[in-house]
Parts: sequence; C-alpha cells; structure tokens
Amino acid sequence: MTIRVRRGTRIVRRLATFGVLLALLGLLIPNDSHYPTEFTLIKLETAHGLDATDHVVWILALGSDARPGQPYLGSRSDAIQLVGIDPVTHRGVTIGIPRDSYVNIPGYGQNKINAAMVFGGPELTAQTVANFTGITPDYVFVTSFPGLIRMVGGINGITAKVTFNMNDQGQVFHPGMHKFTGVQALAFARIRHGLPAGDFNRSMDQGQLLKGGLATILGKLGRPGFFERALGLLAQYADTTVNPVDLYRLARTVLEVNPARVKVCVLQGGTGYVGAQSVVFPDVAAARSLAADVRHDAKVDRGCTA
Amino acid sequence: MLQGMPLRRTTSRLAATAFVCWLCASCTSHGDTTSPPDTSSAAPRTTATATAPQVTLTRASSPLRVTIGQLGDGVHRSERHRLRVAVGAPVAAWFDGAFLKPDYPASAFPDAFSSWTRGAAAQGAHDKDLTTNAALGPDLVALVADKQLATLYIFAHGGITGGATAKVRLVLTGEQQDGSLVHFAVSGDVYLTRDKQRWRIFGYDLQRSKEAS
Repeated sequence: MTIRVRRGTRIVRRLATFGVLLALLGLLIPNDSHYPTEFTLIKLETAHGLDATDHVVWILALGSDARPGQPYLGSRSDAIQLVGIDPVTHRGVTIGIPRDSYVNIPGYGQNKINAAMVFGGPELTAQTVANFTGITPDYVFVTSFPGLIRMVGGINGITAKVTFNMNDQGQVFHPGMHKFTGVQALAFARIRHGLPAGDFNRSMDQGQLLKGGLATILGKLGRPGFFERALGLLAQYADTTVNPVDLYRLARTVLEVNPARVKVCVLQGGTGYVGAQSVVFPDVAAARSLAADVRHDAKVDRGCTA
Repeated sequence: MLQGMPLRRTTSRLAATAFVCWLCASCTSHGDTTSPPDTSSAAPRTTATATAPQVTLTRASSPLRVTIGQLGDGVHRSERHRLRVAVGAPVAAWFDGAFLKPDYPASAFPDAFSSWTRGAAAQGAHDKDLTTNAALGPDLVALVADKQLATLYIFAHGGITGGATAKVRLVLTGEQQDGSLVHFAVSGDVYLTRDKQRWRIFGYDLQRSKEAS
C-alpha cells in the first residue's frame, strides 16, 4: 500500500512536472493563432557613396616641438607620420619616420629630418620626405603640443592601442586599448624612455594614436554635427593652407577608411652618432621598397602592425 | 531573415532609424525653419490616360522644412536664412527630381541628380533604387510627401563655409495601380559642399524603409 501511495505520488509529481514543462514551452514557443506581434525585425536598404578621388591620398602629419612662445612652424618636427588613405578600398597606412633619421635635406645636406622644419617649414619637410621615400604628400598638416591636447580633448578623448608598459613623468600606460585625454595623448606620443626600441617604438605609438583617432571619430559620426565640430577643431588647432571647401572634402575622404584595415608601419634603421649627435641611420632601400608597395593602394603585404 | 545580416548591425540600424525619427520630430519644434522656394507642386504628380484608374491620392505634399542644426565657426547668425535657402536648395531639387516631380507611372528620373556633383551622380545612379523612386515608380499612379525634413550641420572656418551634412527624412505615400497605398521613407545623411556659391551634394549615406500606414 505504501509502495502504491509512493508510486501514485511519483506519478502525480511526474505529471505535474510535465504540466509545468508544457506551460513553459507554451510561453516560450510562439503560437501564431493567439500571440500578438510584439516585436518587429525589418531589413533596411542602405546605400553609401562619395564623390572622392580614386587614388590614395597622402597626408604628412607633423607635430611641432615648439615650446610656449616659439613659432611652431619654425621649430623641429617631433612627430613625422606619412598617412595614406585609399577611399576606394577603404585601406589606410601610417608610415612613421623617426625624428632623428639622418637624411639629405634638399639644399642643406645631411641632417636630422626634424631639422627640415627649422630650415624651410612644412614645405621643405614634405620635400625631404618625398626625396627620402619616393612618396610626395598631397597635404601637410602641422600641429603643436597644445593643439594636439585641445583637439583630443575637444572630441572627448581618443582610444588607441598601447603596446608596451610605459611609466614616464607621472603617465602610466599598460598594454591594451586605452582611452587618452589630451594631455595623456601627448605624453603617449612623446614617451620613448623605457621602450625596447626607443624612437622606433615611439613612432609606432604615434601611428597608433592616429589610427585610434580615426576610429574614435568614425565611431561618433552618428552624432548629429559631430563631424563638423571635430573638423572645426582640426581647422582651429592645425596649420593648413587648405581652404574650408577642400578641407571638408578631404576630411570626408579620409573618413572613408576602415580603421580595421589601417596598418601602422615604422621605417627601420640603425642607431649611431654623427659627432655628438645621436641619430638614426635609416634603411633607405627598405623605406623605398615599402613606399613603392603602398603608394598606389595603401596596402601593406608584409611587416607593420594592425 | 536574420541570415546574412548581422544582428548587431540590424539593431544599430533600427536604433539609428529611431534616433533619426526622434531627431526630425524634434526639429519640427524649432522655430528656426524655412521652406526653400519652388519645392514640389501642391498636387500629386500623375499621368491621366483613358485607361488609367481613378486616382484617389490627391492631397498636397508637405513642403520641405529646412532647419539649421549647427552653424559653423565664425558664421554670423544673420547668415542663417541665406544658408538655409542655399544649402537646402540642392536637397529640395533632389527630392523633387528623384521622387516628387516625375509624372507617375515613372521609370526614368532624369532630373534626380541635377544638384549632385558628377561623381556623386554616377554613384547615385548606381544606387537608384534608393536614391530615386525607381523601385516603385512604374507601379505608381500618384505620390505625395507626408514629410520633407532637412537639418543642416554646417562646417565653416573663420566665417567661410566649407561643407555641410544634411540629415534628411522624406516620408512618402504612393498610390499603386490597383488603388492600394504604399508608405515608405528615405532618410540618412547627404554631404554637401559648394563651388563658389552653388551648393551641391557630393556624398550620401541613406536608408530606405517601409513606413506604417
């Protein structure tokens, strides 16, 4: 009897469990006959187009190391980045040139490349880069330390990739993606002490900052008016002779890039001394080979980093 | 179907659409609006033939409302009206040529890109199912605009304008040959720049969606 009761109880329990399961399934599985439509999933047709150039746009981005009160166009260039954007394939490449690269400056002989800004401003720097690499920039942008801080701050920071542990003058960064304030971005672009390859790593970090800046801006383009505000900051804090109409079209062209398809490269070389000066002796053949690879499509087949 | 379409992108597009709807709805409450002259005609465009069905969609199109969302650096406030008219004009010309002015049924939209740069027009023609009413035009007998909105975000440096993004929303109702109505919208961004004083569309990022009746 007891056994029967237990069996009966077990059967009741099983039936109850089965009933609960059915009820749950009834809740979870939609039934067209009595469940109203509460969700809608629609496919949107989209289209994007831009009347842009069909060739790679090359921009020489220079960071002047002018101190307060100094003319920043007549000061040395602390950061030298040659940026190529292909608006058709959405590829991009940044080529960092170590500032101590010992190259021929047209009309001035062998010297550190950053001295070209002092001798002849952005134009001579562009000419020097063109002679050295074989790529003639279409545009040159120059900004200063305060300009960089304000530009980054104006778009509420930039998120970029940190490769090495860094700890210099109170700024500490760890490997991974990091959101930089304006002051932090400047520090990140300048720190070289403690980096395994010194100026070469610093040049790579500058490229990562540019790439991160593009990604940050692209990520915010959906905000009404953001593009125009960001471009306004650039126009305000960068020195350019480009008129507002061309600047607008250029910026739209640059933002055709897909940051995931941007490679960060640094021209390599050896280090040494010329007199008392510490310099980088660039591998000119490698630099020209890289430039030849990317000149027409901004596509890097080997080396460089994502 | 979810297959072949990333959910995240779909969700973000839905969110973006909702945001644009909200944005445009809020734009109408701004007092700073204008309607550029010579927008679409008051009555829907139809072609009357002996065999054509009776057109019931006869109400007038809503006029284009152009709002300044952001004025560029150094541009004086007194320039707002002039800019609304000047930058709104190519948007109005596009809406008219690509959707509102053709006689329906229509399979050609020769004036669709008259306010676009040559390169943008070529790309727009490639995307004609979205940038014009080519997809539905042959089946319609009439078309009216329920909403025509453009909010302008202008870039300027030192008081000199360089370009603008127009956030647009065009909500349309079409009458098909069988008398049924179809509701759809084209929304998104068009990029404008100027050649001297003439503004033109040189890029676009648009979406088309069905609208609830």
